[in-house]
Amino acid sequence: MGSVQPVLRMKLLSLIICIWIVAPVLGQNATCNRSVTGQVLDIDTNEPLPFATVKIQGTQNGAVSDENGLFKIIEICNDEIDLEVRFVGYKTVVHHHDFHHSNPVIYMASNETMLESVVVEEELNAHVLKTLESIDIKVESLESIGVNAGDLFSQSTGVSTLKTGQNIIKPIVHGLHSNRVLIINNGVRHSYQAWGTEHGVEIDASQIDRIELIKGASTVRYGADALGGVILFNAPQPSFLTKLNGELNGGFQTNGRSVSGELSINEGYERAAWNASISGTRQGDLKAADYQLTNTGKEEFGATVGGRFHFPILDVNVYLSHFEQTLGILRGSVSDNLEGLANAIGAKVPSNTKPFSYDINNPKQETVHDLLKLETSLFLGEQQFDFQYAFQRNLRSEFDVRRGTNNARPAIDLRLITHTIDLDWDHPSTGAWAGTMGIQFFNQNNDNLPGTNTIPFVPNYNTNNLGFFGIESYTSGNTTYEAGIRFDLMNLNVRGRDSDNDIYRDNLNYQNFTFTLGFVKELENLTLRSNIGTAWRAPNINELYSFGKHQSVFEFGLWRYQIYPENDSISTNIVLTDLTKAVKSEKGLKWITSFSYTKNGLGFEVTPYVNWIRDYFFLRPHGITETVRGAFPYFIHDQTDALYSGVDLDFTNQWSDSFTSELKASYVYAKDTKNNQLFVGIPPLNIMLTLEKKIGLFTMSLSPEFEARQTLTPDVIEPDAFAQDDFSFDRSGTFDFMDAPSSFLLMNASINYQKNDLSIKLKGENLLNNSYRRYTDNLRYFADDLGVNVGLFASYTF
Amino acid sequence: MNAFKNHFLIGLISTSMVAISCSDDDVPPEENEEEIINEVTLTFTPAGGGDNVIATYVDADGEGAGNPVLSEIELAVGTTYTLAITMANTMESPAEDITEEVEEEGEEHQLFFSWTDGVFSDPSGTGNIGASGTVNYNDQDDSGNPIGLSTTWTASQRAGTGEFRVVLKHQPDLKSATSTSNDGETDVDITWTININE
Repeated sequence: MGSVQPVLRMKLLSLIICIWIVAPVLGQNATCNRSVTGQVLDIDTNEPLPFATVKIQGTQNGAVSDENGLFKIIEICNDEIDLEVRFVGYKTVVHHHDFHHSNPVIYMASNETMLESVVVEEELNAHVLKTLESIDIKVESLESIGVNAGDLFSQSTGVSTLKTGQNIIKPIVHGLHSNRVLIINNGVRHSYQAWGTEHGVEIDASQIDRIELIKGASTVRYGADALGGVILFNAPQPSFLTKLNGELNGGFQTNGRSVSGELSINEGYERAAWNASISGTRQGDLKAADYQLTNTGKEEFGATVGGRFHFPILDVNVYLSHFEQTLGILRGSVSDNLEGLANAIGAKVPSNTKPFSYDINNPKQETVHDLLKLETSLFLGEQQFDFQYAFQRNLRSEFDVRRGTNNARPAIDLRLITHTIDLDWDHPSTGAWAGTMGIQFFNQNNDNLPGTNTIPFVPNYNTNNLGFFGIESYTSGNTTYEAGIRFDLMNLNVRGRDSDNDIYRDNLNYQNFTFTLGFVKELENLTLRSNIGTAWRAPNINELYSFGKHQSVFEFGLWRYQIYPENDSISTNIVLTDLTKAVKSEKGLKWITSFSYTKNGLGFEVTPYVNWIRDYFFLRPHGITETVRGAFPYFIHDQTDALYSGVDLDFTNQWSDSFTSELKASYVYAKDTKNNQLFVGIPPLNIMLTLEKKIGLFTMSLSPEFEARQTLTPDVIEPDAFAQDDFSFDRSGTFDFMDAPSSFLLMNASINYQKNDLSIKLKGENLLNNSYRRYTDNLRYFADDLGVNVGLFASYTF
Repeated sequence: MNAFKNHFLIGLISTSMVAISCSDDDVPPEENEEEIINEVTLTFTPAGGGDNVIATYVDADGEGAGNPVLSEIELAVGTTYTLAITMANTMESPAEDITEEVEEEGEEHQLFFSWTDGVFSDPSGTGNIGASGTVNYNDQDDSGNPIGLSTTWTASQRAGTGEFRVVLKHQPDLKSATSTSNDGETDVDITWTININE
């Protein structure tokens, strides 16, 4: 490791010099007229710590924080100093500060907690889009071990999860998911096969320590696809000036008999720091309340290495991560034709249910995600430049139950290579104005790997996207106004094969303007935010070109079918283009407002929103196709207009020093406004209550969750009736094969124990062992969700 | 360390390349659609000699939404036939014979049959699809369980019309003496019109 750093450092330095012709570096300052200000906070509560001692090492110069935790040290002679921060009962921290960087915020950790004290340098413009409602979640080690990254934020209001069983989970933000929710992984636009509802997020939960959820349309800042919102996952940064230290986490869970482990280490010097981690999980078949869920095991392995270098005017960050997964999918969810689908839906116990096993057979998915990120920040007086380059490699192999030797071959085998370049400039604040401008470029290359023995479901493609944005904010008194604009250019080059193995090609160009406009008003106990913003996304590759059988339905992209209304027939052995069938980009306009009130431990937040989406892509059933395997339903991609609106509520109360409660509720209403129809899979009303009580070294919590039955659903046509043509439905709309599942109540509880370096957590989920199904689970047709689960987790720091 | 350096360099170079030029131009590999069965042929050979009776199923566009073409089964009253079933994928060239594959993997496959009551005098009943009727199987897999590529049928003494349904199930690790048409995945499910002629 030691030998890598100098080489990398040199490489990075030369890289930076290539990119900017560095402005003249500020000269030495011999006079003692420098000063530093900062704030000292408790890392647990975010409350200010008064009377903390801040001293410049090697001098007598120092200060004591005031009642707001603020301090100021004056008459500093050197350009660079080491600040030592002490407070009784808290872990002392040393921070290396130079005057090109912004002021430090010091988060002190008490001796009782496992956390280390940390120092964060405020970015000049840390919260771009400050008028957008966002939720920042600190993820404790014991919460992220042995769980799915998709589940980490499921406790937040406005977020639900789209599942394909327990192993494949992706977020739904205000009713939208997949290509409509953008994921930013460690500052990089996360690149994976996002289009599939049964494609998980492919991020290692155990390496995440902070999640930020932005609920508004923040396309202006983060790029296309952010119609529903943006989720930012962040891994811990290496800390400077710390001796070699680490953390060992482990967990066991009864349901699935899973074992998980993670080891992370960190070492920091004055100017350089590094960290590394490895993690792994092995899980066997899960269990519903009444039966085994055969073939639901998973195996995961992850590793990361991070480096951070600190120079007078610039910071350099390097991050490398690897994550691979093998995910079993419930065997009983495999159905073939409509009759098989009817049998699978009707089965009391899913077919092929076998005793517990760690084996993972077909159907299964194997995925790999690699990320290499290089990031530099250049501090020039009041302004800051950020440059970031990232390389991502994503492999996805999906194995179906197939005949003979084909069983060992993936039916879908894709490799997605992505390069992203981000260049941001935070201009100097001039009085009340602050702002950021930036350029974002990404290049994606998607290839089908040979050897699937089936015509590729999606073609090969290359995407190039270039975006320019600018965001300005103006503060006046307690109100900040914000406005932003963005322009995107996108090119999509497609090469595929039709069902006769003939080659088709196309080259598509898209361009789009987006804007955002908002304000935030901060009164004594009340914060009011309101933002209106647009978002867009170009049609996804599967929406244009998908062809063939995917799970138990046939699916045809917009350019793979033509309907002839005159004789009510459909042709699918064609490949259309924009000239023969015009397909527009999807455009959204989201207005979100939030009122949050806090006083004396009482907190209340209400967030209503409305999202209009034009040319909304969706998949709708169109009829039955007779094949050699019997009758199959087939679905076609189409466009309509949609309205999503809803409200999130959050109510917290600190009843005493040791007892708190939080009540959260989310509701979303969605409609196809063009055809006056409802959509399948809109999350129903969800209410969660958390009661937390601290007794000595123990923290106990009880958190019941209630989910109502979704009543706003399209009509149900059961597969039997569908097969026998014994139904009628409006072909402009949609239908579902099964009624929405009943409402349910789950009882979850946990006990935490923490002393010095050791922390232990005992967690119980679905303690009443209720049989239930979630409406947003793709496998709800075939099997119940998880039964009771008890997990024991431990974390040790050294 | 070298690998790291190389990664980095490759990353930089390829980025600048794609940024300057446009993109590569690779086409997906040509794949043989081995999955598909798009032609099924029923050959009824009369036990007492005479011309074979042939009925076919052809789905020219395989997985497309186009519907298949079927011919009807024309049997003579009171006659006993041996039925041989062959399956092929003609979307591939040369066409692939799926029958052989089914035979080789006999322990994973079984054909099931059902028909309109009264079409046959032997076997009687309506078959073994979703029911427990008898079928006269002539072949067996290595475990002694029927496959169904060869079966025996005696047409009814009375002329009439009905339906004849053939289902091929793929039952890996599932096929046994007690497995039924509800187990496994469907490879073939076709219903022909059957005519019993004077």
